[in-house]
Amino acid sequence: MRWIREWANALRFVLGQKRKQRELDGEMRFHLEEAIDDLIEQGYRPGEARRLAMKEFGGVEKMKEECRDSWGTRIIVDLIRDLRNAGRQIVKHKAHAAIIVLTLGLCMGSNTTVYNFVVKIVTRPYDFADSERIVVIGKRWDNIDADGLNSMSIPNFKYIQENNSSFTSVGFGDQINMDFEMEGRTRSLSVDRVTPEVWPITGVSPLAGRLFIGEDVIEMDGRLVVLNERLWEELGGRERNLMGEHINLNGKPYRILGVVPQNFYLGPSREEALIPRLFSEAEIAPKERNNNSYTAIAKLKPGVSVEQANHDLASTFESLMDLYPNDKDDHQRRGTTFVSMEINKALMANIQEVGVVIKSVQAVTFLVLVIGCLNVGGMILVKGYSGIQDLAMRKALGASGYRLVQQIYVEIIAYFLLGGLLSLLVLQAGLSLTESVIQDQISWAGDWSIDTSSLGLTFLVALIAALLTGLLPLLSILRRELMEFVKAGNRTASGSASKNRLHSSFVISQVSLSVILLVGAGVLALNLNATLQKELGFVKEGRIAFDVPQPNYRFAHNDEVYASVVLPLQDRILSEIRSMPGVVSASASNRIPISSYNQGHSHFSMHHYAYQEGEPKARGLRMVILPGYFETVGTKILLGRDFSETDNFDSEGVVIISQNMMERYYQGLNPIGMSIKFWGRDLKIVGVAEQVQDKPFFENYEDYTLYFPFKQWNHMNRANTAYVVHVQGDAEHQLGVIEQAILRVDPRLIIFSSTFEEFYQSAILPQRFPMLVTTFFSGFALFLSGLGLYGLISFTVAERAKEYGIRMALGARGSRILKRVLSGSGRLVAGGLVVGLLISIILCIQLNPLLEEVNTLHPLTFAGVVSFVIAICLLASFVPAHRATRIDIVRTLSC
Amino acid sequence: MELMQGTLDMLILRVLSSGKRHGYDISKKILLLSKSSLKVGHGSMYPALHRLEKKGYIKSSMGETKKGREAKFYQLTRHGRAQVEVETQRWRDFVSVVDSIIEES
Repeated sequence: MRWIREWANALRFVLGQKRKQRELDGEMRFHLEEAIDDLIEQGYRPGEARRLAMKEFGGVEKMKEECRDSWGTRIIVDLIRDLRNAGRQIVKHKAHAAIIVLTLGLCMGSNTTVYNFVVKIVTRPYDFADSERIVVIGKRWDNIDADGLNSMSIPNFKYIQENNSSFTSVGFGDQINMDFEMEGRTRSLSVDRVTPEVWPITGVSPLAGRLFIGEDVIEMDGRLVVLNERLWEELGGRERNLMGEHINLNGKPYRILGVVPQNFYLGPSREEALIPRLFSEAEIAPKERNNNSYTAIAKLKPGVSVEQANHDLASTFESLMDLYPNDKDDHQRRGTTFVSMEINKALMANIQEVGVVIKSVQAVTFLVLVIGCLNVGGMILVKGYSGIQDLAMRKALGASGYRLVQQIYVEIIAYFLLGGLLSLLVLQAGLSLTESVIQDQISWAGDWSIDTSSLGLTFLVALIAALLTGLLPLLSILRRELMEFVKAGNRTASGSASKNRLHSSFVISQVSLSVILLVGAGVLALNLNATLQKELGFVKEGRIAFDVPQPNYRFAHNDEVYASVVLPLQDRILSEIRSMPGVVSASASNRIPISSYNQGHSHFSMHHYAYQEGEPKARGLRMVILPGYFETVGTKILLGRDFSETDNFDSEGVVIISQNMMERYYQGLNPIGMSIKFWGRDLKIVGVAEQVQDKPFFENYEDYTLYFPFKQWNHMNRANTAYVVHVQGDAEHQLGVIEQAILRVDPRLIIFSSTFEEFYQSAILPQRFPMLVTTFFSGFALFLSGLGLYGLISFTVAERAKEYGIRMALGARGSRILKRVLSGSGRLVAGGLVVGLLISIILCIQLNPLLEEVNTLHPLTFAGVVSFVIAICLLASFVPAHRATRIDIVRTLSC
Repeated sequence: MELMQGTLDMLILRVLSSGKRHGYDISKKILLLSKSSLKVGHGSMYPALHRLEKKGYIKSSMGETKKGREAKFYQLTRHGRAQVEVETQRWRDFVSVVDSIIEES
């Protein structure tokens, strides 16, 4: 209670500051008047009485100061005074303040923007309540990948659900695409199929309606849907109540039950709706126990750690093995167990490349912040020196060193806080830009609003940076005998070298950091260039693709329908496409090269090759194609032939293998006519296709590719057909035209169309993005360094104006002065270059083994960086140097 | 006699226990009660008064003196009245301890 009273008093005093001051003055006056009256009564003359009263009283000002101290408000009063002073300084030196605030705003803004990326993409993409207690459960094979989390089967999920003691509940969810009919049009909807346990686990609350529970699901036979806010808005949910209405998914009505917020999602893509996950008898049958295609989601009981849960899960796995003793050997060999992982860590374990990219961008922006702070430090130093006489005067008048520090710091912090405010605008702009540019590539990050923690972080960064930035200039200023400056007055003719030493070291550091960033940008550009030079094994120009799903509800996935519906449909669509003007050729496959579509891999064996003990079996990416596919995408057939119409269900099984498979397993042999054993069938190799970049560049992929004819496999690929077309003219335009042509054949089809170029751009994005970011920021860093150099040289020139004036009065020519100033700046730049290059070389040597295809020490990078830095620095110092040659001798010397 | 450090607050509280007074009156009263033997710098009393007010032992109000001048009057608060006893007892304890040391030696 006592402290509350004291604070209340202090607050009252602060608020009544002026009144208090008036009262104090009145009190003093009253005391003296009373004392004088008494003394006069005692017989003193008025003048003498006054003098004596004053003497008895003691120093009035000192006493007032002591009274003010006793109010305990002095710090606050001083702070308010310093803030006012800082405000005046900022208004007075507008240009100077604007540059500082702009520099800080951009530097801090870019840092908080990247921090937001890291939070949304890497550390906390799932922003559920208690997300650290939410885990993903899967299998781990300790002897194969001890850190990973792999999928498990539906029977496994059911077993864990019934046999665990670590989780409050265990739920299940998987993603599918469903055909969604709206206003006569059909489009594909990304749908989560979830069990009702998912709601309490994630803690999601419906925006409208409610979320389904077990009874609903049974009653409605699973025909319920919870909409995502985006779809709900699209359907007009804001205007009218949609609850209880139905939408058509895969041709069946689903009753709308509720709405979840738009940033609620479970899978790696942005699902638009959630329906109940029902398990068929076949799915939960024991024979499905090793069909590992799913993961479960669960919430840890309070106080249970992931480690404890994993211990419990290991026991659960052991007890499951007791039920299936025949599986034991296989699992022991692999070291199989059930395992759980925090949901956010589990996501990042699958997309490590993205994490590395984002974190390296974070390092780059942090370096830029350091450069920005050095720059601001330099500018504060310049300003500090120019105001040093003022400071010295105040110190001579009795201001304590502490007061001076506080005053200077308040001004610096004011700059940083203004910079912090500006950085919030930069952050908002950065996030909006990101949302519009790369949202599709980073689909799992659902919400691009500003993370609230970054607001606090911005101000914390501003404060720490301000304190650090101010420290060196302040020490440098206070260290000096300030009285010397007072005595020297304006008579200083030449700047002292030591005075500029700190500022020079700031500039050298800035230049060297810029050099490091520029070299980094150069290396990334080389890396991207190396990727761009890579042989793709297909031609992307003029090639377009139409991926058409064949959902089960329309194309019942059985052999008869495949032969009687799917294959004839392919023929009709292809002949429609081929009849279009500008189409050179068209064919089909089940996937598009370089895309991240995953259509499955299978192990196979070869008749001529016996695997050694422990040697991993060869694995092939399954490509199902129609004749003419290679010709359409521009892939060469190196040996043998393409498939033909005669390669069908009635003829011998055939396969075309990839170039890398021939090089690995058929050295010195002609594979044509030899056989492989695949899915229990003997297949004759009829051709060898040129090596194709099947997967995006960042995916570490070393498998082989096997091509099969559509008409020999009715169960290898029924889910979709990807039509590929070679067109002439504007590919973008053809995309729309051909899409319409396909819809003419069957208006209910859903088509995902894109050019090969688009797939290519997505495939190089993980390299292009950091390259662009680093290039942008290293350019910005160099600009800041130039600004820092400009500030220093301008300051030196202004300070040495008299010296140059005298020199010119004595006959020195302008060119000589120019040379003198430029050589001064040249020394700084050379220092920065040497330090920066040395550090860059060390870093590049470290990087060389990581970037195999790039010579990180490429002389061209270094030569480019050096000349670029010299050019910018020359420009930055030429302007003030030129000013030095224009000094008005008479005016300079007369003042 | 110089005033011992830390005793001014107690003296002020004691003087105010007899009623409302202004600053000049307080300093005169101390001088009077000590038979002019305590030298209290008049000025030094005001920081002490402000300190005591901030601690909540005394409160102030504006009023008029007999001569018709406007002055600031101080009086004890309930909290201050209790403090007078505490301070007085502390002083007595202190004096008796010092006394006993002097007697012993």
